Amino acid sequence: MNNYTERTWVLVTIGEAIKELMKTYLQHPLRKQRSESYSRPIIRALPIYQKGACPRGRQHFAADGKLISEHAAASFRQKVAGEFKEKMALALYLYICLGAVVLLKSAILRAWGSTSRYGVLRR
Amino acid sequence: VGIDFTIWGIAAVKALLLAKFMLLGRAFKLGRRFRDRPLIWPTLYHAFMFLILLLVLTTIEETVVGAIHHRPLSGSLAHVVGPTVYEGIAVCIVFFLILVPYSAFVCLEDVLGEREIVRLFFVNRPGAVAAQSRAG
Repeated sequence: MNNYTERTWVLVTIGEAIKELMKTYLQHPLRKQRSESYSRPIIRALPIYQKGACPRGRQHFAADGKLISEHAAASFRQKVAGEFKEKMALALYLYICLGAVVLLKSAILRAWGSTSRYGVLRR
Repeated sequence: VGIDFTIWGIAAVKALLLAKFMLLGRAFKLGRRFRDRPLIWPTLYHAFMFLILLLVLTTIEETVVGAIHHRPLSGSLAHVVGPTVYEGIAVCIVFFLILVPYSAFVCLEDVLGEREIVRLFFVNRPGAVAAQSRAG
């Protein structure tokens, strides 16, 4: 014999509390976990509503609780600076790679006695 | 002294132009297929699509430049990849190989996120030891 008592009224109270709590998840969706590891299973595990609500993953909340995406929050100047940095990095990468190819071509042509300086077509 | 700087200046301008073309491709989300497959497939597909984009845009650019300089079309096309077919194929392969590391970086960025990949490559990676211990 035990002293367990059926307390169905507790479940009713918890059910209401869970309903209230779940509403807050809809109002403020979960943010995707930022991890160094592969994140796909985590994304799959997230509720479906979040996929629709925040496809890009990162979101901020304004003071009044309104949702603002990161792209909207970033200022125009920051975007331009970011694009410029990206372009410069890409250009440097291409310059080094293509420069190496031009140097190699030049060296081979010189070894074969070509008078062309870099083996590049003149305009 | 004995160094031709003109060609390096042209190469720098060309690199800037190609970078702009690549950013255009990125803005149009080019080569974003096979994202659910292992990373090697989206990487190779991305590199291939960017190679085609660069070839098309460079051809247009050279055609316009040729029209300005009153050059025949065949002469303009020779400036894109080279005067012979074999040279053209070689240039395409070299360009594809140059694009593969960039594509791998972009595809990895899709998985880990932009901030995370920039931090891992260029800032620090404090979680590397923990990740190694987890893998071991």
